[in-house]
Amino acid sequence: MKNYLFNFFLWWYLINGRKIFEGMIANWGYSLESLKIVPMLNNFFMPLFQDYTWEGKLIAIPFRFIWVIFGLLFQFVYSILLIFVFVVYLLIPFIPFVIIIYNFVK
Amino acid sequence: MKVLSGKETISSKIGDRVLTINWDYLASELGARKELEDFEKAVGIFLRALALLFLIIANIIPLIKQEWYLLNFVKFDNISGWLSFFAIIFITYSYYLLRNRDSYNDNYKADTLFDLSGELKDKKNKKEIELTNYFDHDFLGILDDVLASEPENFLSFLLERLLPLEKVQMVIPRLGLDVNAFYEMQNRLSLEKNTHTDIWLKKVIYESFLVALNDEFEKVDELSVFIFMCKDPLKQILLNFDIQEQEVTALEAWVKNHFLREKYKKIFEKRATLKPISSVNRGYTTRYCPNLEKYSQDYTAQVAKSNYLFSIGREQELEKLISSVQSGDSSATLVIGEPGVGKTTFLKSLAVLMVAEDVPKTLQDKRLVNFEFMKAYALSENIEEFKKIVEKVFEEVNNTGNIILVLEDFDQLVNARSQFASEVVGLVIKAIDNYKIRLIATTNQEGYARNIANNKALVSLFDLLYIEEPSDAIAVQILFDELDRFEQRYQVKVEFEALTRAVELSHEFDFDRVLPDKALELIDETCSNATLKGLTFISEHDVENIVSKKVGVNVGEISASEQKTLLSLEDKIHTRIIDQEQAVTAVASALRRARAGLSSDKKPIASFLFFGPTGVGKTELAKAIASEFYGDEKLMIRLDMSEYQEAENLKRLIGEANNDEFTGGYLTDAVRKKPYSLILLDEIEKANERVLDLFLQVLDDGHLTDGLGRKVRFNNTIIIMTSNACSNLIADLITEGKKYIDVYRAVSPQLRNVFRVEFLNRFDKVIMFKPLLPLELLQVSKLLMEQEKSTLKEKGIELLYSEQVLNELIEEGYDPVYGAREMRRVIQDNVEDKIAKLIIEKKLGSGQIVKLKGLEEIEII
Repeated sequence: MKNYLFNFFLWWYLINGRKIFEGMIANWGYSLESLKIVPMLNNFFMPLFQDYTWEGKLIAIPFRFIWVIFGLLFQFVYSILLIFVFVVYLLIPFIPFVIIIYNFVK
Repeated sequence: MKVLSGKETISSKIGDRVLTINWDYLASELGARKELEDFEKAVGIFLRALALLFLIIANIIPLIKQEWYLLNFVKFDNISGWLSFFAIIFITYSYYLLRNRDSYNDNYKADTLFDLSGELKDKKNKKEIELTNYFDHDFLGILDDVLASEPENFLSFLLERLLPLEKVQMVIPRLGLDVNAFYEMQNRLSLEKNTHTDIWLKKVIYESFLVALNDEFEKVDELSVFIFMCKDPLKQILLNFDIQEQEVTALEAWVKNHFLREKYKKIFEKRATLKPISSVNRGYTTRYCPNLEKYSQDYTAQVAKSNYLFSIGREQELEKLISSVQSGDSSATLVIGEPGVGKTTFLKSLAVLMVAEDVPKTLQDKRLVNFEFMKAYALSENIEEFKKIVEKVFEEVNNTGNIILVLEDFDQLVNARSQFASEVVGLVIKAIDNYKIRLIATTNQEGYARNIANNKALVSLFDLLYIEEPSDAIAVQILFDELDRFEQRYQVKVEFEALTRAVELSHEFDFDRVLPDKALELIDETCSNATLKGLTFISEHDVENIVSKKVGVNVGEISASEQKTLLSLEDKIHTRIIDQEQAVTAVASALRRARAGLSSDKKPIASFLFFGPTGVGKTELAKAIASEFYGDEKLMIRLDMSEYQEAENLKRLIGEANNDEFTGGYLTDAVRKKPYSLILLDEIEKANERVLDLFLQVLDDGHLTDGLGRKVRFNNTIIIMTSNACSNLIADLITEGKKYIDVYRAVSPQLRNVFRVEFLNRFDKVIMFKPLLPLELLQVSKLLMEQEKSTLKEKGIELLYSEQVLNELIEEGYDPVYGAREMRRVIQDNVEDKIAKLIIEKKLGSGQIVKLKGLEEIEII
């Protein structure tokens, strides 16, 4: 008979944990890309739609600035969410132990 | 069986890296690995169901008692708390029990061959490779079973275990067989010797590993084992089922492509959701292009909207295209390929890579847009307007900066014959010189030669990229890829052999077109034809039938009636040709060889040099061959080589391109139109040396390149050249009573004075025709008189003649130099003329009998 409990933890943290972590990073990157924050920063001083008039130049910077701020804000919230989900994943196997300890102490 | 335990290092290596097999691990479950897995999965499902039940009960009870609160599962002081507690444990554990076993084995490893092929590129890494880490769980289960039971007949055991597996079942129909055929093979394997585990186990493990590594699989799975089985132990048995080695290779290539594409498609689909499909790029730095938007197709947007199209076997060209397009601030690439070779698909493959952003940085976040200038031309009121549009489009592309401009059929835009050509060429040159513009233009060979190549300034701006016709193997894969489309449209099932046959046979008649287009159309035609007949299954014979109808020659299996004809070919020819045994036998056997598929595909079906006196049946034999082999005497291309005595005449044979004028060649055009025909070249000794050189190539390689650079294939032609060389000598020697073989020997050195040895050597057979002796001439005269008889019969006149007439004809017409030709003249003078006179004088008419007792004695009844 194999050590099913040991194998479980090994799989949960090393194998599946790694997979979930990789998936999380991919999702984080996907979100960053769909928010177009990096291209906005790269072209920060470029006018929108190649409108090189002074009005065009004037409007571009605040537009991009606001875009980047809101984008980063969203990305930050999203990151917190992802981290929370991952931490929950890591903690799930311990919930039964916590409950036992809680009842024992009580 | 030798004891297999511990970790064994096998003798083969990959690079510098040692390979090991961990037998202990493979044998650890004592043959119960599969059952254990199934058991675990069953327990997992059970636990999940139980957990669900527990959760429901744990919440219903407090709800009824109206004591429900969120955290009641943390307390053990009531039944709900206990139930919730176990539900959490069960759900968590069931998640583990139902894990995806493809990406995780019990060795705690999640290694894939993708990682390994990456590692192998790192030369410094010398870690040993443990093969078992890369096995998928199905294969592990089989090996575990093998090690526990040590089957006497390992191969049969292995095949039996492989056949029910999903991936194997998926590829079997691709070989044109069904699973039962493989069970039959398994039965045959079980009767074979030398299939013991000792001999095969390590070999199967190692070779399947290599297959999986080379074909870029994720793991060594059932498919890699199955492919190895087909390549090696099953090879002989597969031959009995008419599956050749190359079909297995094609299958392997298909499997490799299929899974790689599936993998790439997944990545692509995810990336496609991120690709902006409007004209605006990610940084909002582009400008709207009103003129271009009006007359264009956005390839990247099309592809991103899940229109996934990717060329097969064009990796190198694609790499070249990308490196050419991304070079410098502006670039111009001219893609040259025949229509139907897949240029648009090729460009859409670039679009796929661009959507997946799998391209160098300079090409990222850009669009691939096809400017449909023909549409713009059609919608413009006059040429000035059109030029303005073209100019504006270039300007817009320059300004917006995120567009790679495609001009398909570029030769149409710069067509030298059109009025605006020079001005448009000027615009293009100006745009490439002055603007930052990335341009991909496409054209075909002919368009390039006619409209582009002669404009040096234009050509020098472009990087040329040739898209060659794909090889047959690649074309089969492309057909494979398109197969679903046909099967759905026509509701038929297409056999694998039908595809390979379609590719092979498409070469036989469609010279102007290229693969894969012509093969696709052949399959299309076969499918639609099958639907009309109510067939639901398409085999290679259906394709053959279609092609046979097209070319007028049977290309499929030899039917019973055809078999009869082929076996009695000599007799059939002899009804037209008197004597000339050697020639008739040589020709008949060459035709049989060709029909049996034993002659080379790349050379003409047969090539003969007939030499000897005139009027002995050389041309008649050629006609007989055309009618027997191609089914019609008219399928003969006859050229009198005395017209090609000068070197300049060569152009008349193969055609020439003169600026934008093109004159087709007599020979090349005729063969392109009628690829299945006999080519008769009369009086070859009179042709110019350079003309003979041309035929050296035809006889050797089976093809010619015509004046416009098009390849003309001669592999379905029979080439016969006739010559009167040495006829006097032959006539003298034969009259002296020498035997055929002696005369041939005596004449050969003389023949070498007329033709070069390398020329004579190219023929399948050099055949001497001997002059007709009086006795043979008698038969000829009889043959000719019979012909006369049948001509008159059509007019309702019956002709009767006596032996005396024939004898008199011989007396009058025997001439060893002119042979049968003289006889024909004599019959004309003495028989035809007289009868004609009688008909005109109205002495002879329909329903009457004309009786010839002698040449001078004519009686009308």
